[in-house]
Amino acid sequence: MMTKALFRLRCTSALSQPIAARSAAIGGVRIASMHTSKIQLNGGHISPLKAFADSVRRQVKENQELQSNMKLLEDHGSKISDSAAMKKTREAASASSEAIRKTAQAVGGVVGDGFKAVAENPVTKATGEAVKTTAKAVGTAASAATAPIRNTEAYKSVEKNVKSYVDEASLQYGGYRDKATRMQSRVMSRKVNARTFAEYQRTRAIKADENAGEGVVLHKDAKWKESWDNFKANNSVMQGIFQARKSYQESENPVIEATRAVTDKVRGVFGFFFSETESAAALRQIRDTIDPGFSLDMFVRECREFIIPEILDAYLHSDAETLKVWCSEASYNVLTAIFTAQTQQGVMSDCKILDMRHVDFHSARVLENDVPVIVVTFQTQENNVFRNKKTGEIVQGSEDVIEACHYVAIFTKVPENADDPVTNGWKMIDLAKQSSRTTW
Amino acid sequence: MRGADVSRDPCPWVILNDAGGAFAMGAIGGGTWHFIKGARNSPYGERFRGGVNAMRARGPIIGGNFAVWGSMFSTFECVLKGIRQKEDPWNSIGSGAITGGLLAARGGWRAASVSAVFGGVLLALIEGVGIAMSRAFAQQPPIVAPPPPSSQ
Repeated sequence: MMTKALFRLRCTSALSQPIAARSAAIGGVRIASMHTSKIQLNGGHISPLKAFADSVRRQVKENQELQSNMKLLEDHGSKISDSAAMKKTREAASASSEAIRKTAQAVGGVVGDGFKAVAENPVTKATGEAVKTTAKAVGTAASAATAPIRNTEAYKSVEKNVKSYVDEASLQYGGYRDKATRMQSRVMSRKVNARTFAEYQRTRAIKADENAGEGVVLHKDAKWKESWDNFKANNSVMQGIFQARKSYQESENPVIEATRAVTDKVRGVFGFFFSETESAAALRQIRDTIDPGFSLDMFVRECREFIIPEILDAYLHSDAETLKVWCSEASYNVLTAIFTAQTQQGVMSDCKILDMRHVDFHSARVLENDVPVIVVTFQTQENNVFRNKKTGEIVQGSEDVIEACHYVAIFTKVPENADDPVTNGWKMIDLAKQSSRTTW
Repeated sequence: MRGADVSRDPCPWVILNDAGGAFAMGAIGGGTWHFIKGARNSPYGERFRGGVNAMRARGPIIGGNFAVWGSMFSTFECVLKGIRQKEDPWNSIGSGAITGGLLAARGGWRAASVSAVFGGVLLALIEGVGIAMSRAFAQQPPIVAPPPPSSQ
């Protein structure tokens, strides 16, 4: 009896959702549970389809309640419109719509017909229509007034760019865009990327100011550093520590040598995690000497979205001017040599890049002439077809053969070109196809 | 059923479990690996950011690869169980072979068959180790005293 009363109590609780009380007969004992604890049933298995169907049913029911509430509100709303306050609002609205119309004409825009009808209509009846039509009039006035602006080229191009910029996030795992989309997206994203003034300050290129004068200002931390250095050099305790360390490193005592072997090994193991690799040293050199705002993440992203597609396009379509912008002397000569030979034989390249993905930072290193370079690898899927320029028939390759190729590209940043709006100073000094295999 | 693993869900739902578990393994393992690699390859002062960037770029990819492998393997295992109506290690081995073959299918017949052989052998090793371990740790049946002679 008690359990029955409790059961009924739970059923009539104040929750807005209906409680689907379920009971499972387990060994003859009835257990009542709320629908949210379905987990107890079936020995721990929730059927995902059943859970989804129940959730949909519940939301439809909630939606029906919402609809009925909305209907109630609208019925009440029509009663409000007859009051004096509503009449005043209507007059104010028609006055402001007059002002809007004047502004629209001043802008040189075309005023929509619907707007004119409402503005010059004599006093509208005291029904719920007053609010609705005024709102609609203002709405159409706004869209009518801005129509001329929306139809200009600048706005259209900006709108298109915004859409294509939004699509960039989906490029992270691969994809290939054509030249026009790339250029638009790059211009737009450059503006959008510098979101704060601080970021703009960090990323703009800094040039020497000739009028700055020769005076040198001491850095504000220099005093502390100097005093710390003095302390290290003059204090006897610190000197004693340094001396002990030196003698430990250079001692010839066999016991100390054995201990030293152990500590060196331990330091080696820790050093694997904490020492700086060659790549790190090269990246640090780029950041310190060439480009203070350098970030590897942004560079790889630029590579993926703009630089490598540009260069690949230029290489495959024999576009020597673009290659000249992006390549160093040696690589330009090598790459153009290949297709100048082709054009001399009357062969035109009809190669298509179908896909480009896995643009990765591979490593960075410092070359012999103290130039830091970044090595980037990527994979493409290409269709290599060469046609006779005059007849258009295929000279080499086949339209059905897709090749999956691995490439290596090496980049460096030239400080003199840091102003270049297209390259930002980056130059490619080598491009090589590592492997190519047919795929489908 | 001897050899049945009752802690796993029945066949359709186990695919979801395996896909999720494989993704978690791949994402955590790959994330750690790439975090260390990214941190090592970054200059001092940017190590943490470099590690996080590398982990963010590469970790989910490895998780996704693992999840693809795990879900395909589990699907084909369920398919084989359904066809053969038996639960034994051959399901796993066959499923490993099919998965390996399918994942390398873009390279042509030869690459696919080599990969299928590798997948089958790998699963055979795993199953073999599993069987050996279960035999080693199998509990002895409890010693039961013979029933007392019934008094006539």
